[in-house]
Amino acid sequence: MKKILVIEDTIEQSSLVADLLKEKGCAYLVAKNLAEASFAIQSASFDGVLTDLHFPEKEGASVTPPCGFAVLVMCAEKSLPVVVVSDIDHHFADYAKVVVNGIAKLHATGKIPFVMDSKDWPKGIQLLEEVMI
Amino acid sequence: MKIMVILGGSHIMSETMAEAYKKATPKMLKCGVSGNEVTPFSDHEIIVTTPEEALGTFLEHSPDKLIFAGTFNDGNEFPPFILVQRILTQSMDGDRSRFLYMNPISVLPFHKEPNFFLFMDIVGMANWFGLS
Repeated sequence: MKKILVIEDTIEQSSLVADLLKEKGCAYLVAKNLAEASFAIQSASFDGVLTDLHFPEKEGASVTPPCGFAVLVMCAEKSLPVVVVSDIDHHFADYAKVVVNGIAKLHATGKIPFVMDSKDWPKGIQLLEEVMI
Repeated sequence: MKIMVILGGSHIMSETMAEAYKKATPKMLKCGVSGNEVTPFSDHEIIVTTPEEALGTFLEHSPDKLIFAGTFNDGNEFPPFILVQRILTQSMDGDRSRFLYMNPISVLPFHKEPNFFLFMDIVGMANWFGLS
């Protein structure tokens, strides 16, 4: 059974991805902010991570960089497969891509797939399955 | 049904006491105070863990229900139990029929191991989970 960490701050979205993971027979934990995500990554073993980039409750409206970048660095340090599923403002998209690709170079897999649609969890799960192999 | 009991407070006991506490909890739930009873928990799997190990145990066993037994309301303790509590309840969709706070759980006399009594409201817990 694959063990997945889901990092998503909205209940609607985390419930959606949870249902998809249950259908696939995965065990999962849900973290809603950077503190919870960091604690979970340090405290338990996971096969993969699905993460949003923005956790507004912790970041505020205009703070950059988003907390999700810190999660990606933690995953890179632990060689933990990770996929980003997040809406990106078009002003921010190029910057986000550059940062995610830069962090990917630190990752053992060399890849951090990026789904630029916060509702497309099926695609995120599919990409995570590919990088977990 | 798999029921995971997370024992807060085991970190402040001696190792021997904490081990005894962990062993006693499923016996108490399944066999009652006398150790020879049938309780609403008798036919169910009881998994006991500590806050430190709770996330890993949860992933390993995918329990149907959770019991937070003991003190989980002090976020200043290490490890940060409040994070364990939040992550696990979120991972159960915040569904209050799937988790229960048992606070306080009492182990008496606390320092006279191994002669201790474990007080748990078995009937109350069973009612909460619809087991009785």
